[in-house]
Amino acid sequence: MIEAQPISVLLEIDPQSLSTTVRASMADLSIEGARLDAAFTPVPLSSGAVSSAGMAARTADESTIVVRATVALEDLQKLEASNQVVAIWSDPPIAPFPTDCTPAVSTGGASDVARALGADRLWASTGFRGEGMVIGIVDGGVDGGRFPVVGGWSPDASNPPGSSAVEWGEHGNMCAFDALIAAPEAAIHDYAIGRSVGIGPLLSNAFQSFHRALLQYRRDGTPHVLSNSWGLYQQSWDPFPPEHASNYTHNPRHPLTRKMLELLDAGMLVSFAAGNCGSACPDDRCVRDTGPGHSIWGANGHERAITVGAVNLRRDWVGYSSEGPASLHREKPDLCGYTHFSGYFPSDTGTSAANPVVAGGLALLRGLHPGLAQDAARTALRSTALTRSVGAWDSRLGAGIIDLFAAHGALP
Amino acid sequence: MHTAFVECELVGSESVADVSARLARLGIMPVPGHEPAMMRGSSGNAATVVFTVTVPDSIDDAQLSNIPGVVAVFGDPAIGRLDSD
Repeated sequence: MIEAQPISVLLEIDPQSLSTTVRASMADLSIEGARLDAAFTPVPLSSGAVSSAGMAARTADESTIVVRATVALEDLQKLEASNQVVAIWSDPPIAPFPTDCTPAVSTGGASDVARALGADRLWASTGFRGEGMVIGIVDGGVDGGRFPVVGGWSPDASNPPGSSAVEWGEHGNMCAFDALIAAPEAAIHDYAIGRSVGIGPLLSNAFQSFHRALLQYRRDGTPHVLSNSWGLYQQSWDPFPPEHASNYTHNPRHPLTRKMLELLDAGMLVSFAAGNCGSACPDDRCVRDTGPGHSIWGANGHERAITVGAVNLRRDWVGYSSEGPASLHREKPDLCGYTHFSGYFPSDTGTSAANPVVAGGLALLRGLHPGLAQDAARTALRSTALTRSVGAWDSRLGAGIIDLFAAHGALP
Repeated sequence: MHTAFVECELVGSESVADVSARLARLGIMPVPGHEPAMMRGSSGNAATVVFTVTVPDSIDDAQLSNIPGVVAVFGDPAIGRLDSD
């Protein structure tokens, strides 16, 4: 028979139960059934700091003392009955949360992403791989020679949607590739906001894309999902300060944000990359706008957007993934998708890659649940996300890491 | 010289052509390729129309907002792709 290993616990003890001598030095403290760790300095704890059945009878000004011990599982009941022990608390092993700041290093391939999402199990169990679904990629352009582009809009009439003349270093191609990981049979709409003529990439190109996408959606119900891997790297990119009526970053009345709400209310699903201004290794363009509360701007962090942060395939947080709260809503990002994998490029990077991975997952879910709307999708993704602490939201991972298979199971 | 790009929200009750002509007389021009976008009216308000324009240096935000038919003026900030070097 294999004996269970002793476990490490924190024992909360009642100092009144100890003799005066022991209480003074704690050196001779002993508790039957527990092996106390002499290297752990006893820590006084105000009774107000805890609430447990064992503490119910104690008055507010009484304190306890916490010590560390190892105990055999069979001695736990004896310890619980001891008049010295107020409570027994778990003392599990802990480890630092790893942070990935090496975007050039791939942590797996596209098939690994599909497996991590649970997309492969969804395909197997439903037989559905995104047929008939359309994902809009709002980006620098998607090459129709490489991807199934069936519509979209371009600000450059000489390079219509699907043109091979893509901007932003084939970033849009990367987004299309990553969106098709979960929904490989879906088609693409190319909203080529990077194909500007005579002007740099401005928010108005995204606004115009939203407008065109909504008109298209009203005509034929596509695109089902709109993927946005763009944003502002710093607040000062907005020519208007946060308190100004014309501001975008902090103003839910800006037309871009209002148009997004029109898309959602019409029935489209919309995801946004959180941004690349996380505190551990922010993009240089973020300058001083990094970390919690200073890295998710405008519609990217609207309450109703699905805001996507990034982890690698080892499920380590990526140190540049923007951290909440966002300028428009506290609990952002909503969840994380995968980045730093070999996809379109040797390593697809950024929250830019994580976002279309989630957008493709949304397309798959929408095909399996045809009435699925934004708020229900966001709730399902958040409530089923893989997390280290159930029910908790944190500023880096949001509700956790996307689990597409579980989200499908949570939907009616 | 046109330097500022803004998103100009106009009343929905006037024709876009009429307001556009009024703006054009001041040198405020729509951005090529961008069509006016009808916006859903909030409760109690009529629907509006938004289009992106370039504004000459000589016209400031307050002047723009005071042009008849202009409901609001919003910024049109630069954006970037969110990949990582």
